Amino acid sequence: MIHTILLLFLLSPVFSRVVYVYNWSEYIPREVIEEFEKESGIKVKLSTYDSNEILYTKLKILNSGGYDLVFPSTYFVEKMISQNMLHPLEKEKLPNISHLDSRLLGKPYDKENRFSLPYLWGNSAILYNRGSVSSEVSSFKDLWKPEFKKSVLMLDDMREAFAVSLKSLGYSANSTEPKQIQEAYQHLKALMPNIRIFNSESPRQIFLTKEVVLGLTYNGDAYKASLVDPSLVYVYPTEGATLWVDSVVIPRRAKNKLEAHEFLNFLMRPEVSKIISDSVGYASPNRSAQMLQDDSIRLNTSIYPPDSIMQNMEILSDIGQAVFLYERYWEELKVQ
Amino acid sequence: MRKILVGLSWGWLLVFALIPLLMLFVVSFFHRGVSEFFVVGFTLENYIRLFDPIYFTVFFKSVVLALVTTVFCLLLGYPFAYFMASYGKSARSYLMILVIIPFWTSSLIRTYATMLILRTNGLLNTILLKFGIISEPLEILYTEWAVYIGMVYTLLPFMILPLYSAVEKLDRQYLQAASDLGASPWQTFIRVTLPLTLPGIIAGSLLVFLPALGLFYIPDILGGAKSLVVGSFIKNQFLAARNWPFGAAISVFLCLMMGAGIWLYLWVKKRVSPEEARS
Amino acid sequence: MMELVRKAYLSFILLFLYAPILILIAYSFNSGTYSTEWEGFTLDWYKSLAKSSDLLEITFNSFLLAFLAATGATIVGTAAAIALKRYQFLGKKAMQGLLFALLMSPDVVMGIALLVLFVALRMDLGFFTLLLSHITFGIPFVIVTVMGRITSLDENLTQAASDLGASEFQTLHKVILPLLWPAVLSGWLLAFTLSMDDVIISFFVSGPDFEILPLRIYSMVRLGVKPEINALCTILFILTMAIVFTSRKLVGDEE
Repeated sequence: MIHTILLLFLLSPVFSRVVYVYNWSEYIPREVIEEFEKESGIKVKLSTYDSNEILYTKLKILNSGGYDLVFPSTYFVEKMISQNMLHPLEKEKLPNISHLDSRLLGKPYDKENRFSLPYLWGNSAILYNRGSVSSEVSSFKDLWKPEFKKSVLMLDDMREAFAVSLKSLGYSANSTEPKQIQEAYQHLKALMPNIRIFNSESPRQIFLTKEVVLGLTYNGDAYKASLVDPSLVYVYPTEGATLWVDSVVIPRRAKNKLEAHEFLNFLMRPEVSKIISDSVGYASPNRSAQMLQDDSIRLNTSIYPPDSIMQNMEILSDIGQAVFLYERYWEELKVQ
Repeated sequence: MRKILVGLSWGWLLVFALIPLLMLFVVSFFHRGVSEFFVVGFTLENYIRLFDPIYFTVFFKSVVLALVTTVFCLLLGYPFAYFMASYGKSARSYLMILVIIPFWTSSLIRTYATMLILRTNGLLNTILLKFGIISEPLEILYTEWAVYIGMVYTLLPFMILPLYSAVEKLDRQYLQAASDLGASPWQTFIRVTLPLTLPGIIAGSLLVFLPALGLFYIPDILGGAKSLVVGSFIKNQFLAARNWPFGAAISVFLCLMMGAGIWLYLWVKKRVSPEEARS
Repeated sequence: MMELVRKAYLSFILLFLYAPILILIAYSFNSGTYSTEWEGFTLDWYKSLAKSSDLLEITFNSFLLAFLAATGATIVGTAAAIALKRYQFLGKKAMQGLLFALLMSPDVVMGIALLVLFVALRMDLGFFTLLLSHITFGIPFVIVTVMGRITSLDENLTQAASDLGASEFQTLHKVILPLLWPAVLSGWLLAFTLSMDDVIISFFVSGPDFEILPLRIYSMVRLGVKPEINALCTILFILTMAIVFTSRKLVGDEE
């Protein structure tokens, strides 16, 4: 018995080259991985996480190794660069860079894109069920309405939750002012009776099973939910949504850097990026891919918001030591 | 032979149990780091922080959750164990297997299944609505009720098993004697049955209470992650907030609390049945 | 009347314990994706499960890990149980205390303590760290199971063996172990199921190159309602039942 099992174990690796990928859950379609494996002969070992914090901590524990390709969001790229956790990208191995949309390059968290390239981008705004609300929803302030007692979903993400509160008070989502942060905390506390659930892994499931009426949701999740139930509407609040970019980076001690570059280049192929964007419902940063996409997606304002709305959006950035204050209030909020 | 057996077991436990726990204890006196997990040094700050009212609330709420779960398990489990013991030998072992089987399946999967039942448009509401017991679907999922149901459901077998072995050992002649002497069934239960099954009650309560204190995925999944319990709090300190020294301090405190609980158990047990405790 | 109350109560509790499992099995054949209503019989979820090759690999990983961990825990645990029962040695009381602490400390604490150890030793997280951790948390359960049996072991038998000139090793090999066999087997089984079920400790000590089933189920459950999970759970449930009943037959025959 033991012999058979050990033998099976030794025989199991058929691929000689592998790449360890650590991505958000449900963020890369199976067919893309299969296509790459077939074409390159490189085995993709995919694991998933559901918060930037977990990704960051895991990478720290693994001493910036273990995985070959990971997908941190906006301000975490900045943090990882400053702590020397990343390997500079070898651009000559990535000819498909030319397809990328210049509007998403050279962002403040990595000005020359030395370490990161955009994978997908999106935003967080309000999703609501048109059949269950009495009036139109147009502002973050609507979440506080007494009629939504126990029917609001909030992303289980400290920065996103605070962004809602800060913005509805007229402050920046990246505020480092203790007074403003405290005010935002008090405001969030007042929202607690309305909050039914904190969830950022799969808000759409909770909307589809009708446990909640409205809430803060990622646009891709909202898009997929609205395909199943058309009465679910995604709306950009007047205060402006938060904009984020999920980047691809290679950890400093990654063992399979060559394979990582190969996979990254594959992901930037227009037709591949199109498949990814179509299936997860987030916007592609790939200009040529956008051209290939169907009008139902390309012209969908919840996926590709028009410029007027984009200008009103704010990118979450690294707030340094102020994060401790946020953490403290976040804990207090969840203890009540 | 003796050397091998003692060496193997001591060696393993030393390296993989004692040393890690001691290291965790040591870390609880370190400083918090910004880009490292901790900075070596000595501070009592992490323990002082535990006295902050909000952390006290976390502990208090977790203890209440664990206590309520224990009480519900006891109230549901005692009659079950009592009835079970009154059956014949083959029926009893049959019932026993039935109680144990859920324990052999993944608790996570079972938690997920309770979610399917408790949803607003789930099975429970569908049935209750169909039979006209309620007119509006109940909102159970993502409330405290869902957490209690999930906890009791997961831990009930741990209560039933020790209770059953206590009730089974009960000498029925005592009960007969009590009723011969004119005691009502209720009096017999309070004066005879209950004291004699007390060790089982305590053992079962402990087996429910201790895991209930550390479980975090049931409150997270069924309760909607709204209210932090000490288990998820520790997890967050290590994984999200990355304050390892503070996380370690909470762990040490939690272990001390559990140790106190066990000590209390042994103390009570000694007073209840002196012969058994000595053996 | 009393009989009726008794039966009704027992059925009620059993229903409470089994309803979720039965629901899950039923839904694994339901063709509706999101609804809780019955929309017709289908085997699609089982088919799409069979197609995901990585899930099969992960299941295999889990069985391999549980098999090796249970075996390791049984060896160390049985050794410890025999040592604790038969010998006097330095630190015996301390060892009992440590075992108690191990049995009672919450999984989160154990997982983190092991993580701190592995990080300090600069070990790469992966198969070996998982195996070492799973062996460790299985040990106290094996000890408890085996100790129960040793207590009822007749001292005269081992005495007789050594009187007849058997060495310590021979006594152990020819007398003690055969008598302990059923308890050792159920200890192994307990360690095996615990390993298959552990999420919390594995969460901390697992690495990129060795994914296991409980962790995958955890992330699937968190992602919400997916009919494939129902199918997977049904298969696992039937598998566990099969293991439990076969082993009960094996152990039961000897007892």
